[in-house]
Amino acid sequence: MKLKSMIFFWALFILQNAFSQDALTIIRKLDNNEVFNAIQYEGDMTIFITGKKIIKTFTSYAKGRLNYYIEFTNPDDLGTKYMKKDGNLFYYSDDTEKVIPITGHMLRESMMGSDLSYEDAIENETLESQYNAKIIDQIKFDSDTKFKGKDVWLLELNAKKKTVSYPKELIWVDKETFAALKIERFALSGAKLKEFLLLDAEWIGNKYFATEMQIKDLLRKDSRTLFKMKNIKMNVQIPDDAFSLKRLSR
Amino acid sequence: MIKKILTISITLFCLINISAKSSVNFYGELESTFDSTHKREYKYNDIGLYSWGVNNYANLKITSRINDFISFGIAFNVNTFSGNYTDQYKIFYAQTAISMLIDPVEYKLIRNNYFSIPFYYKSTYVGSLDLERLFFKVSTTEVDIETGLIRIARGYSYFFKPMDIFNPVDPFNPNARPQGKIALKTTFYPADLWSIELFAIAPDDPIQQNGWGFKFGSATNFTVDRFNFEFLYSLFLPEISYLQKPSDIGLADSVNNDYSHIFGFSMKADVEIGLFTEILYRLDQKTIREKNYYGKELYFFRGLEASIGLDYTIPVANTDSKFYLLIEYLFYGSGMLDFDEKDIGELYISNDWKKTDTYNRLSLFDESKKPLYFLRHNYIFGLVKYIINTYVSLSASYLFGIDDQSALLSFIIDIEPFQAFSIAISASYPLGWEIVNNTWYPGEFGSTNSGYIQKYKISGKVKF
Repeated sequence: MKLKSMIFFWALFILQNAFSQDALTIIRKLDNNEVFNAIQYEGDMTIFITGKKIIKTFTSYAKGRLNYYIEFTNPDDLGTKYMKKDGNLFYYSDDTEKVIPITGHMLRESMMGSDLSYEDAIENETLESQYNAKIIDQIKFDSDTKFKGKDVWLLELNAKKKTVSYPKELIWVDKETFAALKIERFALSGAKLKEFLLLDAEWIGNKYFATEMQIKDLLRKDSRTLFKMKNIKMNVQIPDDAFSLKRLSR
Repeated sequence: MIKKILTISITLFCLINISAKSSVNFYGELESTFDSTHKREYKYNDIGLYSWGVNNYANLKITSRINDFISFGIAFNVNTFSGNYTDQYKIFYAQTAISMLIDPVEYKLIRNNYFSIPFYYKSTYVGSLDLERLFFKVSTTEVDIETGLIRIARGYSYFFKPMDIFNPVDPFNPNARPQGKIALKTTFYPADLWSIELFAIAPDDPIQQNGWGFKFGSATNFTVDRFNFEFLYSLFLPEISYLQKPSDIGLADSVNNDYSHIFGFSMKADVEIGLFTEILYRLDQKTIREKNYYGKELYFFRGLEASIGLDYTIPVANTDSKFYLLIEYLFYGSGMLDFDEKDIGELYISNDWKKTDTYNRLSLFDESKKPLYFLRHNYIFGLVKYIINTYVSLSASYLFGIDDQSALLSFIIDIEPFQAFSIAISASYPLGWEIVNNTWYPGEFGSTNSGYIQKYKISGKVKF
């Protein structure tokens, strides 16, 4: 009886290990989908909040995970620019006429009134480095998007460190493309804080790249933000000083 | 002939090339403010006077990136003033009309404030137009050169900004865009997050021609790990000929006839709580040579202006609402009144100042005093903002003069009903010991000195 129990638990351990290996492979592929040498695109954010519709347009380029530059082009925000350099966020506007670092508690603020926080915008770490992942289900995707009916893994991610912004995440990963079709982010209390829903994506090279998504900050009443990217150019030549104080204050 | 054709061809080619790459942006904001003020009357039983004012303000900007290397910008302010907003116009107009007889002290006072140039007087309003920025910028791979009417912004603080001395923000109207200065600024970038600036600023007195009054300086900004630093050194040339007695040419003794050295430091730290500081030390050679500080005993602290502040956001559980808290302390070493000088009357040549409205009071100012923004040495500013959501917030702020216990209490409601349009409603109350007993010394922010008992404003702003 004792031997049988040991064999059973040993088998369970191997099985669990095999599943967690799979989960690790999946989040590595997810991480890999978001890594690119250089990207340039135009975009718009449409913010719907309590019956209001606010549209922000911008141009942006990025290099790897730690460097990006975004310049708003809609008339009421013209001259507003953000730069992430080696994971640190800086801001410049025509009103301040000075580069201002965005730091500490300010990172939790909404970025340009959207459902996205600065913290969401400057995620520097990979999922693999921040979370332990496990597959909790294999189901058909049921959210009402163009990806409805796709076979997905449902992953549960639990933070390795207490300093991670969202201690728990659920991710629905497309088995075919390894795209994250939906992400739910939770607080330590278990309350759902954010929801990311993929609305559109396209193959660019060997990556299935998200081009349109809906973000919901669930603490905001009656609010969602549509984030769209267009004219995407991958592996473009980005000058050496593209992520610098010089560029930001130009 | 061939030479001419070649020249025209090259010029046309350049023009086509430039216009193909260039882009012109026209944008700005329009703000309409209605003000209702309960003013001090200063006579009879002093129950006060009701006054109203309307200000329409447009800040218009045109910028153009001509190509990858050159950009150009111009910004100007158009104002219409009615009611109590014309007080500024009245004093400026009076001074301009008698410009040949202008009193130097009053001239300095006006020069240090933000009066636009009145350009016409019409039925229902007084109009004004002033140029705010006019510059072009050349950017090469190694260096940026910017010149014209520009702003040289300094420091990381939010409210008290002692280091922002070249184009200071008006502490009593921090939303106003700072006035530009004619200057040349050259910026080098030894690393991506490190800049070194060299600058020269034209004399404050625009008709001055002999080279005195220039300000030169250098500053550096850099980021180390989670800390952002800024250092500044600036040399101010004498405002008039070196060592010339100001009184010999009819100027007040406070006019600087010697060199001044400015040392500045600012820091913003990336810790969970926002921490920022600005420290400025002004060493006036004149004060050392004369062994007194503009008529006062010379102490080290006279040249020191330093602010330190903290800010933090506290989220309200399970909602998008939050409280934003800001507190700043300012030590203002050069203050016009010392700790032992309790009476603001020390600044005036006549005790009638208490019975005179704030604008006519300027003529009673003691010329030997150096006009400054703040009268005393220690100040605290506190702000609590309840952000209901990104588009609605309620704020209460408290500017407190520790030395005379006077304060300015303000409440503000900000609403953004739809994109690019916002409404602000504010109420301000000056508080001082005169509220308790009108024979006690009036404070700096009290109603006697500020000229009003309560003020209410409503403004609508459109950005385009």
